[in-house]
Amino acid sequence: MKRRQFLSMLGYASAGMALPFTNVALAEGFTPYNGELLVTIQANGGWDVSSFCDPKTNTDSTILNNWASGMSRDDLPKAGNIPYAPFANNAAFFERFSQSMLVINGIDMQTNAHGTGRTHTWSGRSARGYPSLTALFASEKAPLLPVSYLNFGGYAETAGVIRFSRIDKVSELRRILEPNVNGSASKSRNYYPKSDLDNIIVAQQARLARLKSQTSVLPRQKLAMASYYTARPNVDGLEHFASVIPDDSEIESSKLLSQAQMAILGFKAGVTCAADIELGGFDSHTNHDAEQEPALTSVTEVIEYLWDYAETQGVADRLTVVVGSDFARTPYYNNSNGKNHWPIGSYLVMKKNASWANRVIGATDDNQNALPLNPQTLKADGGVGSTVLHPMHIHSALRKELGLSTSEFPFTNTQEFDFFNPALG
Amino acid sequence: MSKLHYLPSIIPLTKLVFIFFATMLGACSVDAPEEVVQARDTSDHPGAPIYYEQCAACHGPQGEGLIASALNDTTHSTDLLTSLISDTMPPSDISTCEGTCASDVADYILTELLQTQDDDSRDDNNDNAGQDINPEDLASFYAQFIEPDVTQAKCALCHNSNGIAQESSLVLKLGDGNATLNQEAFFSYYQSDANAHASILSKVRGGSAHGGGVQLSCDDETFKKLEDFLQMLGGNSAPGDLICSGSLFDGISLTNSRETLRRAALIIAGRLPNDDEYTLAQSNDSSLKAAVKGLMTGDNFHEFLIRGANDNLLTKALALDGDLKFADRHDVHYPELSNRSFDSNIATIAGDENAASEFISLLNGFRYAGAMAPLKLVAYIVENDRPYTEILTSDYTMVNPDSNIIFNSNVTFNNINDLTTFKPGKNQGQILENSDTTVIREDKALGPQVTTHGGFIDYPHAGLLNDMGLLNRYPSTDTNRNRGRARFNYYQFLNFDIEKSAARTTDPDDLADTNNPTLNNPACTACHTIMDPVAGAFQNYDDSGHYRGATGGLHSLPTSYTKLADSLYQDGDLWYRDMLEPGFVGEGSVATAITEQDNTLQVLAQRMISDARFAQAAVVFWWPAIMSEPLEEAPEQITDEDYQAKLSIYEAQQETVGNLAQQFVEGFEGGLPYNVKDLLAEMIMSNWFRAKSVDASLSADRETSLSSIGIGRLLTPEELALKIKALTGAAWGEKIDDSRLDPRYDNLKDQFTTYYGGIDSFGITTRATELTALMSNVALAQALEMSCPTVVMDFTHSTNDRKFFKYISKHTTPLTEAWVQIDIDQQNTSTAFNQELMISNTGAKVLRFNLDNPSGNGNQNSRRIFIDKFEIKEPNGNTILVFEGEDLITAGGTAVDHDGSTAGGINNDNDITSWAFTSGYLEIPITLESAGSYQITVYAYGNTLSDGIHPQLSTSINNLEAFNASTGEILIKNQLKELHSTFLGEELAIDSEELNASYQLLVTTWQNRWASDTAFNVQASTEETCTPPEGSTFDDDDLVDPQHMLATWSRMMLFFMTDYKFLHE
Repeated sequence: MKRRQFLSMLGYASAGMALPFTNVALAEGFTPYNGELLVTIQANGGWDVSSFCDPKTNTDSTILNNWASGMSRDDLPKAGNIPYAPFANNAAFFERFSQSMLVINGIDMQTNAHGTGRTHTWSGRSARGYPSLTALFASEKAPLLPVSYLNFGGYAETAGVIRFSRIDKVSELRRILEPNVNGSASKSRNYYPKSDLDNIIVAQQARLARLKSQTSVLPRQKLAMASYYTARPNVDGLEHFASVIPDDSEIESSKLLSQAQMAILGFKAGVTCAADIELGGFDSHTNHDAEQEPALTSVTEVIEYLWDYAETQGVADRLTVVVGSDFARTPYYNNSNGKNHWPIGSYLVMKKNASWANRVIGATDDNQNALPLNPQTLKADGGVGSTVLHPMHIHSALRKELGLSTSEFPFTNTQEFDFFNPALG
Repeated sequence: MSKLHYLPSIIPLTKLVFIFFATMLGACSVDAPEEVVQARDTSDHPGAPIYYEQCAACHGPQGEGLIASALNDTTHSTDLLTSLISDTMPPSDISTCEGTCASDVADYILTELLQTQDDDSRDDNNDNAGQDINPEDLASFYAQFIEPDVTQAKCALCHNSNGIAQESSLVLKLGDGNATLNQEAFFSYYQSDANAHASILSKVRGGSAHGGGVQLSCDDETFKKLEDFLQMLGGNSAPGDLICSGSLFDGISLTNSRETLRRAALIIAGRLPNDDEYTLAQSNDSSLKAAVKGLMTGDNFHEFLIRGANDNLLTKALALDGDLKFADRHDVHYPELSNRSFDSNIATIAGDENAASEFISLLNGFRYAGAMAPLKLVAYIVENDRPYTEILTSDYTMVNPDSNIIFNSNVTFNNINDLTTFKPGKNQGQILENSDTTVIREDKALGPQVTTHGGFIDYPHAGLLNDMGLLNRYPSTDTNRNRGRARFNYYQFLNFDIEKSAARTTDPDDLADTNNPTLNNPACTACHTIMDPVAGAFQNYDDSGHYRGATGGLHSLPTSYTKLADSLYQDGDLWYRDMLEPGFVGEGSVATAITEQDNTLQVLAQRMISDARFAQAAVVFWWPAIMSEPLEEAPEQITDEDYQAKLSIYEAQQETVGNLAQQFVEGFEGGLPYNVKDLLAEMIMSNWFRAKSVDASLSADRETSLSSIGIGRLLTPEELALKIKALTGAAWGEKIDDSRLDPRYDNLKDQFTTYYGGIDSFGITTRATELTALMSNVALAQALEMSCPTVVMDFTHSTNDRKFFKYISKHTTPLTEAWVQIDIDQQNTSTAFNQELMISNTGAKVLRFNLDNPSGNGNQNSRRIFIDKFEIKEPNGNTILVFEGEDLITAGGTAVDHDGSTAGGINNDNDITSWAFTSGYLEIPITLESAGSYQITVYAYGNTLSDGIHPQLSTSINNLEAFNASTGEILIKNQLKELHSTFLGEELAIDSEELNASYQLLVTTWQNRWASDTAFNVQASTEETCTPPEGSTFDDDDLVDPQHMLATWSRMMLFFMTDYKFLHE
């Protein structure tokens, strides 16, 4: 959905024409969303996939990873069909999730600049202007939900197709979700009777419709009015969100896990359909092993928590998780025992009971150079049309798998890679 | 043997792919495949073995392209190809193939490898390009206009084989005598891409991710010449001028002086203008600008500056409880810090209960100073009309009472406990950890103690460049070597984003290049030749920002460099020997070294402020603070649907930036150079800020182009908080919270800032510009909590002291025709109270007596009014109605309490029979035949009082309906008109649709409240809350609402405080 369509959805028949809304003011109650859900986990800074899902042992001339000392390629552990690096205590993670996980390696992010890397990884294009996968998902699946797209500070380009919401401390969230409630639960009272509030909002919606209908309104006003117009009737939905938030004692204190918790609670309440979780600490230019180990641990920790909590809240069956990073780290150490930027990275795609899981697609050589992939076989067999994977290939396939439009914000890829066909690869 | 291929009628052309520089390649170090070997062996051309040895692995054995681009469509001349090979190939070592080697390879490619087709066949593939153009005319035109004014003056400065754009698809020759080669390079590029025509015109105007930004604008004569040249190249197939048509602001109306001043005042001064300012503004644009500039004073303008600076510098992150930390209590470079920490620990052990908290207070104050000093420096310079160049050249920093101690600044403060006060001062608190310094580290729990040192250094202040807070906000590492700091400073203060100036290489060979690639590999040097000298200029500052912080105090180099086994480090070095020396690269020039060692940054600062980009950066820096959105970035993908629309606004904004920057340097209209107040005023006067409406429907492209300009700007949390405070007297939840670093707390600015689209200066660094459901609920929460107390508080004041309700009482209802209040100051004795009511509308009315401060709890309980008798006389003196109180009901009157029950009843005390009531009203229908003054006499008395407050009886003549132009309706509408103006900035006519709609809402709300049987109190049940703001209290009588108008106005206040126009300006 492009910005112009978004405006249209918000009540403008066409971008160049301002039409009044129909006389809709307040939603009649709230119907929770119960469709597909998406979470991206953004490992910001550049994760070391050679110490994770594209494991590399050392070569005769180069130490790629200290943990691989004395190991040969055959020594690498494998969970199901997925080899992994025995680093950062991730054996349990791969053993648990191999049956729900597709690993795509050997993706050339075509940059080693953080900003461009994030743009490329999460929008599928290195040039600015395309929405993140999450934004596109939310805009097509449920754009009018009260908190349709949750972002906690990571990459969140919307390209004007939707707005994202941010959640900070949960204690404050409660107050916002139920702004008319004053005081604690045991002594709560309202500020105004709900009927009075409803009357005011109805009057304001009518006023906004009148203001918006003026043909002289400039685009910025038009969008601002439309945004406010669609935001106001969501009071019931937000109150419903409040009803699923547990007591403070059950709220995760860690910022990392609270992101996942709030996303899942938004899903459970049916007010959210997509969320980005942001992790940091991966830019290990110095003391790589010491910095990358806890960072990678945080990835597995948040993924495990996310799925566990999704299961307990009853939304796991509808959830798809995509994990990625700006790019990867060099297949060697620098003078400060760090690793610099390396453009060949990986994605993980996870879904419960997915037929396409338990596979590794894409390949790199011993020095983590990307190998061209045959779109017919999904193997690096040198077949006709073989090409190095770029983020656009992954996004193109993900859009199809997630049921998103592929014509809007088109990519320039000439080959399609059906990563989600279990018969290939 | 030069061959020009630009005319199909002379030389055959093929679709040309710009070969070597189209992709940035390293030597593809793979073994030659079999077909390469075969091809190499079949030719005896001297260039063949070289080609297959050095080129074919990437470009393919037939030039078909493998990892690098295909060559088989090239139309380069041999000379140009030779030159390109010599200058750029192979990328891993461009000195490998020069001279004969290069010419042999070029000749081989063109004469054998590509098996050049004959002229006719090439012509078939290029049926339109350049047709009907005489080549000599083209060459002449190019040589006369394009080569000197475009190529040499603009493009070739970067687009040369050693320039920053050496990896681009257009590489030119810098210097005289290159017109022919350069013309061909242009032509080759033009032919290589179907979008080249538009792309060239776009890039010179800053679009299509042009690293060189804006070079020409549509209005430039040179731009028109370039268009002509491209048109000649493209011939009939050229797309023509698709870009430069029409002005962005055609048909756009601007806000008037009053509207402009109001918006400006709310945004930069956090208040509404006063009448004098409005008067000043209305004469003409000059007076409006003067009025705008007059707003730039006071605390709120200061906060505006702090906010604007922090949105760019983000140093407030240092004051948060986040990952960024400033100031280690054990930092021996600052003995006043580490020794006070040591002393505190000793004192605590000795039993001093206050020692620890006193030190923590100092430490917190110092940390707060670290976060705020850069922002305070910017504000200080702007507020005092000092030249903005001082942000880089000031020989002082800003200190608060705590950093004053740590820095030994010797500044005097009136209140040493107020950490929010900053004054200029010098950092005189750092020592070097050299042989003169003795540090005792006996007990880890106590921390280090500096017992002797060689004296404090003369910190060479260079404004923000070496501000301690900024150096810590943007720290370096052993491998980053100040490059992050260099990039940050280029970006913030020179409007130059190194990251975007040229694509970083991702070639595996370049990335694996261990031969100091940032110094030697062309794939890296393009950026590093610009960045690394400035990184070197930070040579004296270590990762934590200490001046020569290494142990020994001789330099700031890390041990990972100095102690390396084969380190290049030598005694006396300040900088890395394997990096470019400290210096600065001005726009379009080469690096000039900075040889001053002790104060390198001070010299850098002088060079930076002399660069034309410094002034542009100032415009870019302050633009979002006024407009709320940053300047548009140049669109990157020419194939995007909205590309042209975005390019249009980008170009227009860049033109504005250029104009503002030029005037900023010279001084606006003869004013002071580099004066930020003038710059801000000019921005506010601009179309970008003042665009209000459009006179016709907009095309889709113009919708996109105009999407971020003019009114409708969402107020930030801080701006909304100040607006609320300016209007109501207090921000939402405002209080002094001494437990916080900055004790000045309010809900929007602090607790809910992230939820309302604000930033935390760390993880969230961009502001939301559109409301979401959560954000609208924050605004609603604020209004829900503040609306009722705002109304109640205002009505507690006398009419003249009120902020809003100056022309109305809480007894004025939509039915009121005339009204007067009587103080029943007599107890137990029936007394006549006479009043006169002026009536202008005659007809059927009701006479109402209302107990305005009814009986309530506690001391209010004794309030009761006894109505013995009342009578009304017409203007001519005739009595038209007279009643005994006890006859009220039998005579057709009513007595109504809040719940609809009968208010009071017949009473017989003190030998007086009366109608006595404790709340509610008595009402009797009457018909008034003539306009004029009616005399009403009430015989009444009250109870003996417990609280000493007399009962108040209001007497009114009311209409029967709310919509009949009654006095009450007129008064209320006028009040609503005022509120629309004050809260929403709308000047409405009394009979306008919007005002009628607001009045309708008020009437409905009021009627609903009467219908709900609610008690006469704004806090009548658990469904209602009306809590006074911090530091204020309400008496019980303040909350009493005998006509339900307080409750009604409270809801109207909620309506205004959550209106679209209240939240946007």
